[in-house]
Amino acid sequence: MSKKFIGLLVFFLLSPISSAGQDAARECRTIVPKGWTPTLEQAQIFIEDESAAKERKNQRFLTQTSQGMADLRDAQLFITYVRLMQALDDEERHDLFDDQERWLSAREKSARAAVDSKGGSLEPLEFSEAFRKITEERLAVLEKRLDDKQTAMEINRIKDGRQP
Amino acid sequence: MKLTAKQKRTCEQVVNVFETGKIHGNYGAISIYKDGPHKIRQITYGRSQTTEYGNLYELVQLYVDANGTYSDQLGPYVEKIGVTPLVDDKQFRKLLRDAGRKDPVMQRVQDDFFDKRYFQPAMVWGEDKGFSLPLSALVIYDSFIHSGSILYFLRKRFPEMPPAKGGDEKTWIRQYVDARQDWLANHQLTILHATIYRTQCFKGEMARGNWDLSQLPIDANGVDVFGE
Repeated sequence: MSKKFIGLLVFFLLSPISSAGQDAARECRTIVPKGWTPTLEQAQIFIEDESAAKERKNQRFLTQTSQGMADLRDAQLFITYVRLMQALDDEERHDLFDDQERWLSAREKSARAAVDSKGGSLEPLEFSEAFRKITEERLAVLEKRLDDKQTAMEINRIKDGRQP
Repeated sequence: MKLTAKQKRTCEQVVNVFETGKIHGNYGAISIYKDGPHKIRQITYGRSQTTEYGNLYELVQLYVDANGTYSDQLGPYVEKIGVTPLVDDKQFRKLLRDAGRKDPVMQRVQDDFFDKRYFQPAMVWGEDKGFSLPLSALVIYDSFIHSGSILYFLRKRFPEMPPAKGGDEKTWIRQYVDARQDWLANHQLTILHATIYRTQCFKGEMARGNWDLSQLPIDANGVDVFGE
């Protein structure tokens, strides 16, 4: 599934809220059912533990480990992106979508630019590791924004005397 | 570069261990990485890892022509390789895996193919630059397998000229291995630090003067290589 398609899907799912009232908007905006919080933490711990425990790492092991971590970070970023989208208003969502699209394009270029090898088994390792690093930086940015947004929403909720 | 059959086998086995942890490599190994054109996912296959959008077409064609156990079943795939994405075709992946693991014909085809694609170009490069020692051949072959070539930016990091330009062979190899280790050990992508077992092995062989690769076994990342 293309990144653009996923982005459009998220946007489409969130879009009918603009003309509705506040409560109805809150209703439509909720695309992730309450209590559904998938986590990749254990998968991450497993990869990290396996890697730390392996004494003699060969090239294939290193590349597979790195690719596994890169895929995992990308999935974590996707989850955080969807959760953040859900927490934003219309205009902010538009901006985040455009921003994320630009960032995805830049990520490919930056990861490719970090590769020195001209083929060989090191090339995919260099790429996946750069990809992971860049993705982690973006993940931290979106997580911080989501955290700030949730804190602000919580404060507003308390002020309004609403139930969580 | 002129190597005896045993010296050549030793080079191949050392690099096999570096790559897969096994002396004879892993003929049925399949990995899927996002390193295809425009970074799409693609199959990487075989003892020395050839790719779906690289040379897999040629390898499978050679195998089909060699009438191996799985040649008939792999035949219809030949025209699709590199044209239609096969990364999610479980049957294709299973056939490749089974052929690599179970069919000596596929193993022989891979040996010939990887020799032509990787070993011979490395030896031609070495010969052009005036290298002749078996340990030099191992170092050069390893760089071709690991980084695709002798990377030019590394050559600029040390002063010795190659033998063809009047330099000393052993000094060039020592300086090149130092430069390569320094690059890997201090790379900003920290996972690359873990790959210096390769250069450490070469340093160990240079330290014991094993330029003709006659002192066996060679400790390759904890595995003894005898070249047999």
